[in-house]
Amino acid sequence: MSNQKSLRKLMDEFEAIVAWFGGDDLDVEAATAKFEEGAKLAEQIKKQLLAAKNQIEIVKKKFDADES
Amino acid sequence: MTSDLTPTFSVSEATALFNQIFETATPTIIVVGEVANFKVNQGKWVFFDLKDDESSLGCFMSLFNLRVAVEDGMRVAVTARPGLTKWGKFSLTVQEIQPVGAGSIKRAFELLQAKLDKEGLFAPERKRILPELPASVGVISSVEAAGYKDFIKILGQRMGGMKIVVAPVQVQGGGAPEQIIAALNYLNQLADPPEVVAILRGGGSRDDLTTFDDEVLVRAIAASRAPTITGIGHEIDTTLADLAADVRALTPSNAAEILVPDKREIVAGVDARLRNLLTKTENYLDAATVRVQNDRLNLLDRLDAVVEKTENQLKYLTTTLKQLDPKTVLNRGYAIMRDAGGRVIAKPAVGDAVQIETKLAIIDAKVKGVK
Repeated sequence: MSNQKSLRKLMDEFEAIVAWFGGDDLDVEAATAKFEEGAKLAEQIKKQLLAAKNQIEIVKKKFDADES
Repeated sequence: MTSDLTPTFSVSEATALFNQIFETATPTIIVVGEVANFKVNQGKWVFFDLKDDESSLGCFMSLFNLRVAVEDGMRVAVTARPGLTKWGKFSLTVQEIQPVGAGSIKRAFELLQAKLDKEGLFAPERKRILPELPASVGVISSVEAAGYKDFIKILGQRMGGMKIVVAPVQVQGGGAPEQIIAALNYLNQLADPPEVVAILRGGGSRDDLTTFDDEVLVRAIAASRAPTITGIGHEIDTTLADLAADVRALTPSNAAEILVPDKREIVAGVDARLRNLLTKTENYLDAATVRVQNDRLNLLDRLDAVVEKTENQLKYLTTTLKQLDPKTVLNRGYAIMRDAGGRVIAKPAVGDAVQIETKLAIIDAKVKGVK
């Protein structure tokens, strides 16, 4: 899985937690657990965002009309 | 006037000889003139005359090689091979035709734009939305150009973790459109094609950008399997390639900005939302505590304190994260009360065995009275 795909997954999970807090009838235990989960995800997201570099590959092929 | 040395040929041989002479003397030439009697036969062959004030030359080309819109009266430069047809007619076989002069270039652009627009190539409903966080980006550009270097630099500053596949091409001069088309085809037919393709060309005069008005190239961009973004020339330049792409950026740098969000903005957004969750979590904890203490005034003070404290916490990420731990509430002197089953309770009954957690201890207690 590429970095970007796992980043997208982390972002989706984080969004889901944010959405959970938008619901009614929440209890303290669940909120605490969800919050901790959210904080961990946020940390992972930031770590990944700030650490990841782009991988650049320059194609060696010559792009001439007769080879297209 | 003839002698035994005067060569004798059949008509075909003579024609072949003349063509051989042309081929040796002028294999390929560029002729500039004005187009007259332009016509397309059988949807395949193009005939026209190239003339100036005194002379006129017949020209012939295949429609496939005609990459710009041409009409009578337009001034053009043709790259051609001169020769005799088998009917003995002198003609230029044209390989490439380019409008010459601002007026003709503009007119050719307008004609082709109108034609492709009529076919719906530039229609807004054809435009696709680019992926928000692309895992892979294809880049078609000259790798020597400053515009390309800016693009890569800005892309790296804004976002990491992407696979960038660069197809180096010539972006100017004869053969440039073919190279860009070949590169686009190459990227599109990869087993794992890029999620978006950026076609880049840094500044230059408008004439230098005519590569991107090539009809076949414009069609290839419109037909690309991967969504496309163009960053061509200066902000004021619009090429037909720009119109056919899913997204038109003003410059290569602008293309990088459009392609990916800034990681610093994402971090700020995540932080802001996390802080919001913190407030909510603390509010739940406060509500639970207050039920135990039954002290409404204290709650309001407490809430104010939380709000104030939270605001202070926002300043630095690392500090924030440390303070996110709900146990800080206990550190502030509050307690969580649980029943024998470990559930947080607010109102135990007289005689209940309860467990009270504070900053320093977990206390087993028995309820003597409940108000």
